[in-house]
Amino acid sequence: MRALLLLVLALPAAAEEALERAVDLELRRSVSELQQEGYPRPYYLSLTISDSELEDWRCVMGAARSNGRFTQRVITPDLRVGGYELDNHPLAPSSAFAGRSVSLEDDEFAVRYGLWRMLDSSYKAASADFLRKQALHVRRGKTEYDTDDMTREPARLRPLPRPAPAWDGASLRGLCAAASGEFRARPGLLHTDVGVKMTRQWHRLRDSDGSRVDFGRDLAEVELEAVDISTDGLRLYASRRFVVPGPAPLPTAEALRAAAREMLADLSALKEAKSTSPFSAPALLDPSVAAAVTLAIGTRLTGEEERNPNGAQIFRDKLGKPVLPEDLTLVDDPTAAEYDGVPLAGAYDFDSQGIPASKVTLVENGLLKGLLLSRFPVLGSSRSNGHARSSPGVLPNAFPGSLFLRSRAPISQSRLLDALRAECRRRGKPYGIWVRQLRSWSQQQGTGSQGSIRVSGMVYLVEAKTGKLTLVRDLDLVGTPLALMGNILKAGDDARPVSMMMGVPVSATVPSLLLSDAELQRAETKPEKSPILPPPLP
Amino acid sequence: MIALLLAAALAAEAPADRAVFEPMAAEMRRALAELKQDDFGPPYFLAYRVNHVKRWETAAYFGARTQDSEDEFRVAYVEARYGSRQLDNVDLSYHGWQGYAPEDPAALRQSLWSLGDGAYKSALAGFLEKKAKRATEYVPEVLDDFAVETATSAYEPNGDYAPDRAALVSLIERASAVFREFPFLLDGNASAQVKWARRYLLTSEGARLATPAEALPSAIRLSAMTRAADGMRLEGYRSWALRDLSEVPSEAELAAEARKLAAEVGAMREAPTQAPTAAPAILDPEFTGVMFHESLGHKLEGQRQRDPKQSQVFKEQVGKLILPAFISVEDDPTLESYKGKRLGGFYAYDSEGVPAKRVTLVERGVLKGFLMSRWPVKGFSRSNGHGRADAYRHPSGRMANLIVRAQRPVPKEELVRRLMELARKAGKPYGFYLVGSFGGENPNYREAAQTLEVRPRLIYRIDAKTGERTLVRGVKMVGTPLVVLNRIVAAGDDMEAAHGFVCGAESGYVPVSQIAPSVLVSEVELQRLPEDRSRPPILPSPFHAVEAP
Repeated sequence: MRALLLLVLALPAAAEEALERAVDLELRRSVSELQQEGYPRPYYLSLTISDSELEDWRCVMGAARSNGRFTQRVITPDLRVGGYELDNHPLAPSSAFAGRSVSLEDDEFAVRYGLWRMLDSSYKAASADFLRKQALHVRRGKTEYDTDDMTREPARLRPLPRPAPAWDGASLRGLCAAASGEFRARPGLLHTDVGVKMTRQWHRLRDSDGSRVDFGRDLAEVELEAVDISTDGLRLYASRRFVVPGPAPLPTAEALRAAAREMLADLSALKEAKSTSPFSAPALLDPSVAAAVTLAIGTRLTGEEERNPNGAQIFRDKLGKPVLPEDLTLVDDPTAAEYDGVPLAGAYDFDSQGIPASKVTLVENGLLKGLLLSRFPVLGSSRSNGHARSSPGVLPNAFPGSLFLRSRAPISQSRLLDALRAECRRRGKPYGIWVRQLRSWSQQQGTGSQGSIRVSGMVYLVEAKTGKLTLVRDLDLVGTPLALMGNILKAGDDARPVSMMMGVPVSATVPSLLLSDAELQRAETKPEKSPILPPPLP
Repeated sequence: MIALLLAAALAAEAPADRAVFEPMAAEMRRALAELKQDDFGPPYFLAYRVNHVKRWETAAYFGARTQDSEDEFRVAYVEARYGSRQLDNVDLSYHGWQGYAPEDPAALRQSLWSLGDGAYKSALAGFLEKKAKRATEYVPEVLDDFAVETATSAYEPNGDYAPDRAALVSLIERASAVFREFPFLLDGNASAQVKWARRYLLTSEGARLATPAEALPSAIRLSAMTRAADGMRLEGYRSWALRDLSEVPSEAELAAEARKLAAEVGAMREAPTQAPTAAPAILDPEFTGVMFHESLGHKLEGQRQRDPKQSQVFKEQVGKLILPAFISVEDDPTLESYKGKRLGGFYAYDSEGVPAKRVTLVERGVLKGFLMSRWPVKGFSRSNGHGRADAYRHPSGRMANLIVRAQRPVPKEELVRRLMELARKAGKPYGFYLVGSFGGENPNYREAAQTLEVRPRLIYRIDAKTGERTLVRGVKMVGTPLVVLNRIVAAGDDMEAAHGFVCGAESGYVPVSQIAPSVLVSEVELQRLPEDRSRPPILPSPFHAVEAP
């Protein structure tokens, strides 16, 4: 009780006093009084107030086609019944919306009322989940990798003033129109679209341990898409994506125009590109493609994944054992704001559970050293390492922030190409594969499906004898994560950061990687006829 | 004369409208002359449609704003017909090509080029497939595929899109704050949506229309929810459809309605649950309107008479008695308001550019006509301006403002007296009075049972002997359409419009209204609502039962 009183006294003179008071009062009342007869009380409760502002522009051929603005405040509860050893936290990560949209105004009545309604149902659901989890233990027994459900963490105070609005719609629209206007140079394109989106999130976490942590997440995204058609009627795709932490590091209009021109050049090249049957061969992945493969590994290096009964748990019980070639080291460091002057969208200072971000060595010289952890511990690690991540309204899970893959013996790109050809010759393969300019990628995770990764990009054949490059089309790189990473022969000295959205922004700073073997698979295509009339734009 | 009218319409067009029409016209000229493939000629009909929508939404919960969002978008839709009016590619599952309509004329034309190309190619393929089907399938009645209509030109300006955001936020905050007075409420919401929608239509026949779109109108809405002691969810709402912002209800009006709504929902908490039963009932005007909409209106949509998969309840029934002889039904999109209430189904031109017309559907019980788009039906070769669609879909015959009229209407008291009499004759202890509606359903496909259901907002049980009225809860009306409609034995003199309804069907969501009197039905069946219970909140609400610390 004394601690609770102290908590009230510690309330800062916030701009939104009524909101803070409402959250504080309902948080205290819920923890001390929320109980149904015959059911346990909450032992932990956090409430995260997330304010989101969003503005979005979409343009076609230099002209806006839609725009939208959106403001929302969501409060997300993490209510636990039982105890640190066993509580209601789900065994398999859930992406269900658990928050509630509440008043944008500083209105104590409306906020308290909404919180009262939300916490009542959260508590009832938590009680039921806790009992179901106990039932599972009764039926199946404990697994050998089972451990506590919640780490014990010290209370943290981190007040931060809310940042002022930082962008104006006209400049976003300007960027959108400028980038998309560049496509007018190629009026025969079947489809073009450019989107510019700004998101500002402001989170305030308050919990029953007395933590009060404020943190912001600014994000700017630009995506460019263009579709052309080959003479034999297959669609050809080009895209570029920019994900940066806020409006300041947004690319300039000129940089976006240049990206659009690059895409046009890619499409021209693809029109001339050859088709070939799928095959497997040694492969070189450029940093963007290697980033996708590294992120696929990163998403599997989490505490949640190793304890997920529906997950593939590929790194479970491998601590200290080799999982990558021995000259490679993989770390996740969300505290690094930039790399080589490039801002990293995956950087953050406090995670979504209010734990300070920290650098985690995942793999050191090929040996597994650690996992990305939220407050859901794994056997042998009793504390979070600040990697709980989530979007507003969703319960956080451990996830990569900013991955860095480094090699002890990096080599230049030209030497990588030489090594690729040498490997081909050694294996009697006429061609090697060079995959550049990541366009899209997808992965399947879990025991129910194969843990596969599929990457689309610009695929070149590298002739083993001469080194001659031939662009091919309609082929995607496919593989399984452990085999792909185990096949790494060499890494380049050309590491550069790639940021993307995977529900939350992530970055991967990865060099080119040479693989001893990779497989190509036909892309999904359906021939269609070219437009009958020439385009109206000159 | 037509040329003169066209010239007049063109002269009235605003520059912003011309910037839409010019690329449409240029691309259409080219498509009609040059869009051909292999040995196939150009399409015989093209329609380009652009919908431009701006909307702003806000919502409040117990007096405080919870949402603020605004967006603007433009959608292009291309319809292409290949073949001839007698046989073309369009069937009931037809959908044209839809995509972006950027605001710049050259970019818009580029988009129409791409959409037109896709629409033409799929028209060719559709035509050949349809012809192939005809080679093997028996067609009982060969009808044209496209009605002849005179091309219309029309220009109607939209009102301004200038929502007074601060004033509306404040209004809905104050309206929803009224719910704070009612401690039993679990949710008390108000919302406002301001919408501006403009439609451009250009056809190869020469139609050229720039008009306010039949989009969902601006609206104000109040809603409240609570639970009974047994956990049953109880809710109610009020909504206002607005043609423009001058029609926003006053704060006093909203507050009064919020209080009435809260009291209504509160009264339901005390109401006993009603066991399933069959008994005579009075349906209030709103309930009657929704029942006619579901059980009759949808089944009179012209195109359904051509599709053997549809229930086709009223096919071949023209000229025959389908309803009690004292009832007539019409649909009138030209009616802008009724007794001071704005009607959602009002428009001057439908989505095919055909002028809206009042149509008699049933006259003194006898079926007279259908809701017609340009899809001909046996005996009805022309549209009557009911071809409606949202921005993304192909128009089909739909309701607009459905009007149910009865001869020899009687005062409400007389209806109640006759209700009690009917109940006594049938040996029933009670009759029922069903008020308002949350909407209803009635499948139109043969594979589904044609069960009509309409959920009332309030249900009163009326004692057959004493006339005592008791509010009850937990049931909805079910029945089969022909049986229920033909059990109507009398109607009240209280014709009233119900607005704020949105109707969803194959051609998308369109706003509609119903105007109807109360009716007395000799027997309806009441069925339990799906169970939706949950335990009441554990803690008392923070403000009503405990003192704020």
